[in-house]
Amino acid sequence: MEKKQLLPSLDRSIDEIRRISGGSSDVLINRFVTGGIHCALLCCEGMVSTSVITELIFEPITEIPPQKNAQGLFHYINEELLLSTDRPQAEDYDTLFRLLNSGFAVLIAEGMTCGLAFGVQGYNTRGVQEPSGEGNIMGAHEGFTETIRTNMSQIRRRMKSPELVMELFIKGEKSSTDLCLCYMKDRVPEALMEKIRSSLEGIELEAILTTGYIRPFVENGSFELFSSTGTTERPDVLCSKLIEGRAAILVDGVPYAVIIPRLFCESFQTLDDYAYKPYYATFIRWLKYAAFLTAVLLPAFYAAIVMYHPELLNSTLFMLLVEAEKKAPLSIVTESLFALLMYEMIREAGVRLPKPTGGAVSIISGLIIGDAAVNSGLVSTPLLTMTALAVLGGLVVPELEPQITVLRLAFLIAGGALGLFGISLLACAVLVNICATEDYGFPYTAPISPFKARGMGDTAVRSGIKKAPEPRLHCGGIP
Amino acid sequence: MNSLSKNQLCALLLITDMFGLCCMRGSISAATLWGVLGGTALQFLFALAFAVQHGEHSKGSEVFFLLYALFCGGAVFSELWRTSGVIYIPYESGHGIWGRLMTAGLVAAVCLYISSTGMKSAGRAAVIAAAVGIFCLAVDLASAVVNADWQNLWRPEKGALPQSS
Repeated sequence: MEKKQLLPSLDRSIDEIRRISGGSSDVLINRFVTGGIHCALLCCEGMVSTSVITELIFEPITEIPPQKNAQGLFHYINEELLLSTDRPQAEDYDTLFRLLNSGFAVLIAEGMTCGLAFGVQGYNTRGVQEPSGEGNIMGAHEGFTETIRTNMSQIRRRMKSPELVMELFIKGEKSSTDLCLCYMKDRVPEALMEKIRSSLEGIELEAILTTGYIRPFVENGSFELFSSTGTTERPDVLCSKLIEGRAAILVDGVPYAVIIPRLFCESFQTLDDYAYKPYYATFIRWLKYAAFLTAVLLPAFYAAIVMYHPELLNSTLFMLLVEAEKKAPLSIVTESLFALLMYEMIREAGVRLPKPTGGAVSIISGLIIGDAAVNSGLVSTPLLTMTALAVLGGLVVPELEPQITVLRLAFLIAGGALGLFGISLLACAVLVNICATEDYGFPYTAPISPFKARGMGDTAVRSGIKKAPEPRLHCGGIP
Repeated sequence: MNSLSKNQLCALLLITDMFGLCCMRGSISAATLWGVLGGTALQFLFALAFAVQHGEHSKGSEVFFLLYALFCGGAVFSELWRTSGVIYIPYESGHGIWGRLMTAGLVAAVCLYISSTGMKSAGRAAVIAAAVGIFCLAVDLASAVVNADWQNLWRPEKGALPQSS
């Protein structure tokens, strides 16, 4: 869209607006005369509240006394009438259309080269609901919505400090999506914010429809298995990260916020940990670490030990597994791959299908196919048990599910091909890859390596809140 | 990218020495054990002396550490080659020269990947690997203590030796 100044002639300006919009039916142009000046109020159908526009704009504007010229009219509206709290000006058609498409009503008048905009947004939005992906028992039950301003208000309601800064800006050539960069100015070094801002300036996309569109721009470009930025759909979680010195990006139309940067150990933490007694929270945390390792390594260890290193098993277990596996027609690796891929297909079908159908698919697949596979002897019972345990372990850490899925298959292939030697080699490579993940000088593996004793109070254990009065980690604290 | 903290340097050295220990086959004599411990201590002393130096290093020290790095690399390669002979690869072709080459090649490929990520990530990984290694050694030691036959610690009296027929 060309950045053309608004034309002073009202008729020509309206023609220009019709030309740029291609005569789009949802651009409404209401012509009227007020104060003796010919005007037009522009708005986008469905984006404004009809009742608000009638009460707050049409009624006061039509009662304006006669004015000498259009400048006088705009001066009167600006100085005498309080039509809306949000009143930007549109100097060019680019800004005018951006405001129209954001739910503003724009007033243009004969002889004026600018338009007055009034925030009268009234589009339908989803209300604040409980997040579906991040369960919480004892914390707040509010999640982000698709409206960026609602999300900003949810953060502000929890963080009333003037140190909390929210910078709104627009990205996306066609979508003109509102983005909001949030941070605590006393916690995040200005140099780091400059780096994040310059990364965001590099976004040159036509549209930004999910958080996934902007994450590659704020992440390190090198090959990383784990993502050094995280997402959350909970305002309370986001606030806790802001206090720890992180920055966050909200995207209009997406009920998730991007957290920059994210640490590996944070995938095992929930806000509920701080509601429980420290000993129980510590137990839950170690359970999650164990579940993660189980999810990634159990099928691979099963295949490697049963196929190549049976001397590691005691005789009873060995005989049990031999008895079960000798009936199976396929090799253990093929069986495992078959079971894991079947699970992935069922999961994907359950997620993408409509909810009632998805649930039915899961039940049919889990019960009927699983039972049939075991009864027919296609898959052995111990192997199916191991696969189910590994899958269950992955569900304990939902944030790392994509990585767990891929690593589980990779370790299975390595273990099946080279035994424990293959698993060790792959483990070395994965460990180094995780340790190499770093954004803005913030190592993903902190505070485990580089070791920070202060951070271990919320990593190895969950120490009492009284013992951790300072933020556990902040961006300036990591070498 | 290539700067290391003292902890990371120590962890890297420890990992190298642990690798050497792991590669040892058969029984270890007391002299070998003292040799390994002495060598490790000397290495740490040199590393500490290197780490506490400020500013530019002298040409002599740079040459010394380059030679030392080459020596370490050679020693590790020789250990790797010996170890590749005993690593179990579950194929018929895994035995013999091709198996050893494949094993050494795979280990070298992983090492190449590790070095490509930079010194810092290798250092961080070494800290975690060292922690896991120490934990495993502790479990191993605890298991050895539980299952040890303590009588072997004392030399049997001459009269108690069984007579050969």
